[in-house]
Amino acid sequence: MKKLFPLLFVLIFVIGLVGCQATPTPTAAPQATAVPPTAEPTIPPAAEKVTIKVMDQFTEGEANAGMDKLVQMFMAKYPNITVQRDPVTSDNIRTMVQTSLASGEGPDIIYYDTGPGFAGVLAKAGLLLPLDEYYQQYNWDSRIFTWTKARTTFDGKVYGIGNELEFLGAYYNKNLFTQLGLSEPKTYDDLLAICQKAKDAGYVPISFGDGPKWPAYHMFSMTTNNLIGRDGLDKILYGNGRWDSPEVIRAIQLFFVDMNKAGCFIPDSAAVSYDDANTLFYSGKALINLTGTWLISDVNTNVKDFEVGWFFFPAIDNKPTFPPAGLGSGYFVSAKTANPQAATQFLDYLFSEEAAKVWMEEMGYIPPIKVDSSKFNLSPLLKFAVGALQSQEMGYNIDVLTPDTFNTMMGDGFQAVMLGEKTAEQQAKDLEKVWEEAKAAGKILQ
Amino acid sequence: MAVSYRPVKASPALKWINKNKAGFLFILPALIMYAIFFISPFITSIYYSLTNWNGVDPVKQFVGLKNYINLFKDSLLGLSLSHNVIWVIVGTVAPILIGLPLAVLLSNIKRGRLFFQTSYFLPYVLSGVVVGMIWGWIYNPLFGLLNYILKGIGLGALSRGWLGDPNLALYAVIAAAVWGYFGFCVVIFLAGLQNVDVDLVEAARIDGANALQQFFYVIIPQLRHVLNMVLVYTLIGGFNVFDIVQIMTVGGPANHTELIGTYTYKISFQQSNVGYGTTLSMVMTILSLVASYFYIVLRERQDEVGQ
Amino acid sequence: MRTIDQTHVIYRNPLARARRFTAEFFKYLILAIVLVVTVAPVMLMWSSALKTKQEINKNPIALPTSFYTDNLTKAWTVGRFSRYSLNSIIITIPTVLGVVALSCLAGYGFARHQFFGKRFFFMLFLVGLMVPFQSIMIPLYFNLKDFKLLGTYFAMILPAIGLGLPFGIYLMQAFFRGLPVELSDSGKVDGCNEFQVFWHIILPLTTPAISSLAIFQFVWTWNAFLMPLIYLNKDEFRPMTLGLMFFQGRYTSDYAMISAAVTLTTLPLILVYIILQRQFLRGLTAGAIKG
Repeated sequence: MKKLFPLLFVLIFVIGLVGCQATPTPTAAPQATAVPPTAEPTIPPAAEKVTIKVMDQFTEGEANAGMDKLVQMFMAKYPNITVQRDPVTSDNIRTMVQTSLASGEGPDIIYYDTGPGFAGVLAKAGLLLPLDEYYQQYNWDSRIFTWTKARTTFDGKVYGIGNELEFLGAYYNKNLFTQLGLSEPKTYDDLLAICQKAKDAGYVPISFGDGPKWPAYHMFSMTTNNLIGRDGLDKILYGNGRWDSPEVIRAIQLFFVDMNKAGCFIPDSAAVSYDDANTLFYSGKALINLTGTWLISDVNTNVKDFEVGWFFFPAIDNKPTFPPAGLGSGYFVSAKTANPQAATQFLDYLFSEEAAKVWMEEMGYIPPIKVDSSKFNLSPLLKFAVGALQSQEMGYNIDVLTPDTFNTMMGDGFQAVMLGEKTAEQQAKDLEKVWEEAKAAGKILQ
Repeated sequence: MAVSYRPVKASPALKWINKNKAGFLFILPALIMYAIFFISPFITSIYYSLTNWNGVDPVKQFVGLKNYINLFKDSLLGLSLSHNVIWVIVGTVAPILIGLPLAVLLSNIKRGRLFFQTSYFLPYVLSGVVVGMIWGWIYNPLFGLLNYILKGIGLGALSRGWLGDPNLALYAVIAAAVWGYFGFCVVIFLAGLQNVDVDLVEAARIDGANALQQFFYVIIPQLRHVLNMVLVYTLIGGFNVFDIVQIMTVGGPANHTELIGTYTYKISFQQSNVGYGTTLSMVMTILSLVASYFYIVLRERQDEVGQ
Repeated sequence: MRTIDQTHVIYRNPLARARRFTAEFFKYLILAIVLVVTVAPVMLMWSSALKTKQEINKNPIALPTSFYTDNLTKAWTVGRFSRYSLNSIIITIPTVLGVVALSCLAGYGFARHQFFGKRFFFMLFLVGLMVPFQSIMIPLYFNLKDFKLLGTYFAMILPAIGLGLPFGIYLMQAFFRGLPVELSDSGKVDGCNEFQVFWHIILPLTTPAISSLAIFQFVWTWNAFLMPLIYLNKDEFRPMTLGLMFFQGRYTSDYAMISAAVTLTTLPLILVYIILQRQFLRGLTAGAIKG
């Protein structure tokens, strides 16, 4: 009896505490707080002062400065709206967004990955505001490439505006190429030959740093796209195609096994961070940097001693090349925002022609807007990128279209393949297994 | 003149309340804080482990013990735990093997003891994040100090990507952690050594024991309290390690430094599986509990034997 | 019983003296080598903070050629470390005070009083030492949200106090048990109630334990990373550990800047540690020996 009393007391105490915890109430998907769309174009009638908070990932120099400039320009035009930016690095933004959005204390606008494992999760949980009516209100379809909507559509509703048109390929050191008598590779075997020549001359052929694991996603995209093309990927992503087909296995084999064995990469690339790999390229010690066009602004800032060229990942087995392309992150609006009108106003401005100039000239990003950029003062690399997007047949950047469990298997698995702990075939089988599990759980893009 | 008290005739209930009131009042403020900010969320997290919540959905779906059953099918969990075991063993033995001799040395010198103690203890006050960053730089294959020094003294063949080598990465991270921890051991052992009874050692010497025997049979038993303290800190810490590994390798390369702490974080936050993630953290808790239990049992047995 | 510090042998024989001299020399040599290995990485960071990026790439070990303070000032202003360090102070000091106060009270309660469920409550507090923060992280977040604490410093201070209690109580109760019982008894005979005994008699004697607890808690709170990451969402509240993380995201390959940030983060802590080292070590070891 003596022992029972305190136990009982504590039990009641504790149950009371747990019971007092308010359980988060499920929110109905479309918020009734949205202001009904008016026929008027831009400035809201009642110009009360509102503040909207934006959480984005533009932490680095030029991008950060450019974004601040856009904010200033916006606030000059709409003095009643104050925009507060909170730039967060991409490794931390996920943790912060997930906890803060759910609580209602979070930002009004987030700049977040568009894939099903990222924004898709938030949309399905009812944390994002569907933007269909705002697309109509601001007439975004006439300005923004409509194919980008598919990337931010979940369960039939559009939740965001995709941004950062980008594609993958190789930057290369033109001076070193000339010095070593090399030219842009047309085939995979050409690339291997370049690697050999570079190695013999004491340089690192390709500065591939797989420390953070995600660079491997892009390498996989490059070889796979060139082997099975966009149609092949369509079959896998939206149909009944399989990741453990012979071509995909070959895609893994060619890059992570053969090129690795041939010494094309930085030794111990799993210990090298992305930025260190870039620095190696900038300092002229590596010939080629296989990555994406998001790095253009960085390249322009850091490369002083040589000219930078670009080539797409070369053809394999004489098949047509499909440089992987896609959207980077996109803008989404919190379902719990108190100022949807002001928030979407800001987004409308960000995707205007005026803003496009800043995106492209100062930040080095390509927004998905129909704009004539020939008048802009763009770096040669960026000019090329814009042109390529319009003329070149592109493939898919895989990791933005796949669920997070698949990406984790890519990240850890490709490291294992490079270390010789897994065969390419085993990795392909593992990828297929994870893909099917995700499919069954309803986690993939429709 | 002595004050005399007239005992108050109180009812048994009042007596009981009075007797217990003081103690209870003393612990009450702490108890309240603790209940609100620890016990309550802890119980909630037990509840989470019985769901398959992804961290964002407003509705959590109850799945019973499914997460716990999945624990046994999870090969990555087994791998992570094996790494934790290595961490606990190496991370306990190494600082003791380094700290104890250093403490003995320090106890044998007269001057500069505080200076050395303070310096050795310095890394301990640095956060796991800082230790990870410093050593991440030292191990960097391209710009790091270690390879630079190796090349400089002609051992360039040994230079490599330390944190990218599947066989070495875990030990490299443990080395960084030991750097941060051995100073703590030195200080504790030194305190213990300063209380060792030299007369006993002298007696053993007269009885014919050599230096080593003196050390193991006379000195070490007198250090058992401090040894216990170090062991328990390390055991519990060894299962909860997170910061330093996350910074240095994020569990890579290819899961070779995956510990249960980083695995839990990956599952909860990168794969949006909070349900399973809290289940994993329950595993961490249980392991720490078991380790502490063994420590308590061991200690009580030691005290019983009463050396 | 004699302790080692009470032994002192005087050698008259010059050969024995020489032997002792060499022994002493080797002892100091080993200690010095370990010292270098211990302190070198930290020194590396501090010296790199004073170099330019190019200098570091050329030769990481060399001493800085001049006191290039740009990195530090840049980290302080543009990197907002001035704000972050202020936040660290604002968060840490109340937490330490809270933990010390509550731990002393509770520790005394456990050490000197009997009450119902005492053993149970004690075990309850000890459980807190074993549960990783990750498991209670998310539910605690929702608790804080319900209490409307999320946009404030309290979102970190209050949970930090709560989580610092297990260790604090354990430490203080061990210390109080070591005090002679006669102290409190004599107080009670003189007519003090329990609290007065505690306040006037016991508390002044606990300075070494309090200072060591305070320092432990200070270090722990100052270095906390995961808790502020999730609970202190706004940049204006972030402490230095977070500032450092975000800093690394911005300047990953710029080791000069990172060193500057690390220096700013570690310097205050190390200064405090050096100033208070005696109390720290004394309190730490007192706990160790009492067991």
